[in-house]
Amino acid sequence: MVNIDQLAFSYGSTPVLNNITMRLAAGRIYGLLGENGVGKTTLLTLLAGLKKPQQGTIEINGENPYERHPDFLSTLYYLPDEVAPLNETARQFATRTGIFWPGFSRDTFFGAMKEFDTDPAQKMNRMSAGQLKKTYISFALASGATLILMDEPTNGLDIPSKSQFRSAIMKYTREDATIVISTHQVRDLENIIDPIIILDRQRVLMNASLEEISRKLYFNYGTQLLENSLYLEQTPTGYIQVCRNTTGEDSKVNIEALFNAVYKHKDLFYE
Amino acid sequence: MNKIFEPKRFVSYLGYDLRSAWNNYGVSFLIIAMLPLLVFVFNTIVGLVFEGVVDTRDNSYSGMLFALAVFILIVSFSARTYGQITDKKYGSSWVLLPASVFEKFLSMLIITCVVVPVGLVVVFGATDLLLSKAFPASYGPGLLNNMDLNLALKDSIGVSVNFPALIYVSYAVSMLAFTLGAVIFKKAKPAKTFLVLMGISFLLSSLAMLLVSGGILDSDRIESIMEAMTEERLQSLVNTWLNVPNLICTILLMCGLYFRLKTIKH
Repeated sequence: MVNIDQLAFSYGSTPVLNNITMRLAAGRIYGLLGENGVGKTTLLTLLAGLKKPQQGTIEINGENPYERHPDFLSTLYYLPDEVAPLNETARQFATRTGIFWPGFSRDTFFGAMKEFDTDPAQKMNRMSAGQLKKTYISFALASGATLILMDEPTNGLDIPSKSQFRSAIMKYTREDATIVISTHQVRDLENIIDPIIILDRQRVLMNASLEEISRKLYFNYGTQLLENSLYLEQTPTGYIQVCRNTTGEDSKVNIEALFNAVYKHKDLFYE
Repeated sequence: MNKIFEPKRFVSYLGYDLRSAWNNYGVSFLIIAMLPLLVFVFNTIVGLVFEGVVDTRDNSYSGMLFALAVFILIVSFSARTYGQITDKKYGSSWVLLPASVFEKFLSMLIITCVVVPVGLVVVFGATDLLLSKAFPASYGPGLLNNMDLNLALKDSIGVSVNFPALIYVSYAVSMLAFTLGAVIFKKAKPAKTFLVLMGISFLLSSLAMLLVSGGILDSDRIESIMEAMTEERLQSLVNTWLNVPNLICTILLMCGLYFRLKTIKH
């Protein structure tokens, strides 16, 4: 569905992405992880067609996103990190903007707003940052777009809202839709993202499904220290340890530990 | 064709754009267009409080207010309505709204060059007419009574000028220039547009001076040609040929605007 081939982008003389190649399949919720400044937002804006690739190509369902054809745009929704506080109610916003997305569902929008406990009759420029974000997330899920790009969607959300976000994503995501969620707060997205893409400076360290990850790595949550662990973190109840899965045993992937393990041993994971 | 222009989508977008313009500028527009009422109320209160009487205004007063309203609109409308396009928060949604660049460009032209001036003339004209009928002594004759400017110009320069057309063309060129400035500059949009326009005027006048001083343009010869012209030719020159530079400016500004909208990045 999304083909990225040898993509490169730099700001002036500072390279951000270099020779990035990856494929994103339909019907998956990708987690795009990486430290601050590794190019997560840049990659999302390139996928959305807000920037022009300097080298390489991006093809989404056969279209070059930068050409910004209306038919293509009606299959895409990009949720930026900072959203605009418009001078109208959420209901008015959804009504007049939703007409541009043929798959837009008012029921889904109002359902998601209810899930988020946000009043659609409230003016957007009088909402808190979290309420505003939730309005846009509701719109994104209701748009019916087959590619939804979300940049740090949980920024500004309080603790209950983060769980409402996970529940809304699970409830309202179309089966054929691809969602790419960029974040550095991996705990917010635990249990919803699969596959996981980890970006390092200018390159992709990992692009794998949870199943592939748990085949390669074993996550131990016990109290005994293991030998040859790639990453070790102490918790109040013991340790989280990441090691190579040599026995084929199943384990629950802890995304934060995975991220730290990958960053600690970049060369082992570099694709 | 569907990728460039589709009537149904364009109508939807125009409605969306009009609503956005109203959300961003509606109240300001009403205040500007109802300037005669605001100024009249202010003058009346000040006159009654400090002098005990309300001064009668002269015939040119409404015309001056209208010019002021047009100036404020030109400088502020596009910056407030379309200036947000350069802001990442608003701009990315605008760029990715499913309509073609041509449809967005055309809607921008229709709103800035048709809807806004027509709206101004209607609201300003109605306010001015009502005030002139309701308070003929204190408000004065109103704008419509001053519309015979083409005859006034005929007395002074000997040619009947299509004054409304001249005002409209000048308005459109200025509005397009400030709209282009609004979508190019990220901050201080009107001020930077002013500076650029001043710079261009300075360059063009310097060029004209050079041509005259270099003997390429002979001012005496131009004057003699003008004097020898028949009234019909002079009329044609003023009402047709003098619009050619405006037309060229309009085309250049429209091309600039379209190119900027097409290539805007966030």
